[in-house]
Amino acid sequence: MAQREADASVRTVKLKDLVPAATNTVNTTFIVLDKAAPTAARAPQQARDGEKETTTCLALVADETAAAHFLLWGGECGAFEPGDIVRLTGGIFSYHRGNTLVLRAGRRGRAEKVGEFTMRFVETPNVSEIRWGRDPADARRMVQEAVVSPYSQVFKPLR
Amino acid sequence: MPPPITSPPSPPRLLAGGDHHPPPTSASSPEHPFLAAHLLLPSPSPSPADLSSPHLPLALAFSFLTEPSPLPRRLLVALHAAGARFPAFYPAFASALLSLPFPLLLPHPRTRLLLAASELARAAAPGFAPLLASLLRRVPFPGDARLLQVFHEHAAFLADEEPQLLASAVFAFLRLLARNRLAPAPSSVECSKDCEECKGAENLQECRGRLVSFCVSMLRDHFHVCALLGRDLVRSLHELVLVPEFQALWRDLVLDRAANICWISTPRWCTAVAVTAEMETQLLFMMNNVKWGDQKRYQLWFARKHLMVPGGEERIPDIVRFICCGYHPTNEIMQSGVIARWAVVGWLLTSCSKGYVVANAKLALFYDWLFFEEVKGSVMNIEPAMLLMVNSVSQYTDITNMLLEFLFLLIDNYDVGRKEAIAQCVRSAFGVLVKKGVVPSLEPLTGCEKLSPVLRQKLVAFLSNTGPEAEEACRKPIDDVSKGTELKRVC
Repeated sequence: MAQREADASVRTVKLKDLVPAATNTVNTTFIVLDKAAPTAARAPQQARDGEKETTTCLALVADETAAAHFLLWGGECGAFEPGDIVRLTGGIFSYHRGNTLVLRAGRRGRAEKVGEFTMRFVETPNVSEIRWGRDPADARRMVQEAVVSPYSQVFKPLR
Repeated sequence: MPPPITSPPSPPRLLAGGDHHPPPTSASSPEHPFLAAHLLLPSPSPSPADLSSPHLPLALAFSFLTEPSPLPRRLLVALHAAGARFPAFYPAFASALLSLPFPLLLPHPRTRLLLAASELARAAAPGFAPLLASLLRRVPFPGDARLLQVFHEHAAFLADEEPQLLASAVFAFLRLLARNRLAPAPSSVECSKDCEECKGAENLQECRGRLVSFCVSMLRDHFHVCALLGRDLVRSLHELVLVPEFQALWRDLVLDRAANICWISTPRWCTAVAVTAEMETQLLFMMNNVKWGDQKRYQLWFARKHLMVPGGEERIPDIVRFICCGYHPTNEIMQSGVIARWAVVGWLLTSCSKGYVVANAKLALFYDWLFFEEVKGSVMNIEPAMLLMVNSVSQYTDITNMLLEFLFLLIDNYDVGRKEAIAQCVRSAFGVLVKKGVVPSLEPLTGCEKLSPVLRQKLVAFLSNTGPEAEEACRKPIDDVSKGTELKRVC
């Protein structure tokens, strides 16, 4: 069992194979395509604790199989620019604030810049623009229900 | 009572990079092999055991780049002792230094890297030439005046032993002078060690006089070496013709020889000197991997990183030269649906905002046309300009008009004394482009209603004043208008 967990922690996935789950086990490499303006966000927990606001910033990221929305958190907002190749370890792909489906490093994950520019990508499908539902056969699993939009609705493709 | 646990001081760093870069302990960090060797051989000394260690090149490189100022003498002794005993040592040491991503080097290691390069050059150690050549591609960078000093000190030796390197240095410095009109050097973070070594490091921008006098004296004393640069030497000197020192040089030396040098094709290595390694990697990635229609984001990133920075736009003519002469794709690449060279050039031309940069970029694009010889010339050097004109004619007629107009201006004015010879070369270029199948005919230009009538008439008259080849080309019908993506190279 421990061995299986160790394997899972180093296994890398392509973005098209991302499935929403409340586990921080996503290891993947992508290129940052675009970045929105940063916004000040306060997590409910932090608000109660009276902590300072944390800046977040939504980014469009992609690999050669799919695109996704990535939520940059705090220092990550300034650390990554469009064109950067980023390796994410221990990330999480889940609903943020209830409705938006984003990939992020989370508290235990780590995003590192490992290169620049030299990576191919596609902008469709965008796994953050897919509606997911519970698998009727296995309630613990999520399955794709519908494509909300083939491309990101936040970051329009450049043509 | 156990002794208090004190954590050992963390080893010094080579590269900049905060929380969001792989730490030096991670195998994916370029620093990792250096740190690993350093931990095995923390302080290399000239002892026999250290000298024969397989970890010495990386460990010594780490210590050399990170030891606080002044550089411990034992490191220099170890460097040359190992180099003298083991023939493979110097090249391994030099390639270790080359493996570091230069733009990420911290100020102190960068100053030391220059010191190491000059030490290797002083000893004429194997491996010094590629190291110096790679640094030349980096100018301007903080502390780069040391490079000038190295070339100045060893010029006579280099002229005999490494003429290509010396010619590269002359070209890099001429381009820096021409390109920048000496714009301010990129600012850099201060050396955290606050050492005299880094504080004393001069930038080339601060010693323009020495830079000019180095170039002039190399051209006077080692003209045959500088001539290795081919016609791009003349192109560079033209841009500096208003600098008084170059005016005198031009009169005394170049004027008589320019015509001959212009017949020498620019070698590929020369065009690479004027673009940085990152620019080259990214341009090649675009032209080898990025499919038509997907290029927008890459272009945006390239522009943001390399063109929209001080002195960046001035690089465009050199990038155009690199694309025309420095990179000739294979037929497989050209047919694989990736973005073509002419399209990259078209984008670069539209990225220029300064008039003189546009003019120099267009000159760069047509330069090989002006001296094209059917037997010796490479059709791949002149292909981007032709395809850009032909493929822009329907949708972006302005570009075709602008290029054609510029070409006629060049024919009439580039070298008034040799106007007819240049015209003949341009005719020959048109003829060969058709003959080799780059374009099926010149009809898309000569028969295009959208093109300026004056230019069209001028083109027809120009081409008809020629041998049978080009005439035939003009008459050929447009049965299939070329598409950039489907072009075959027949050469």
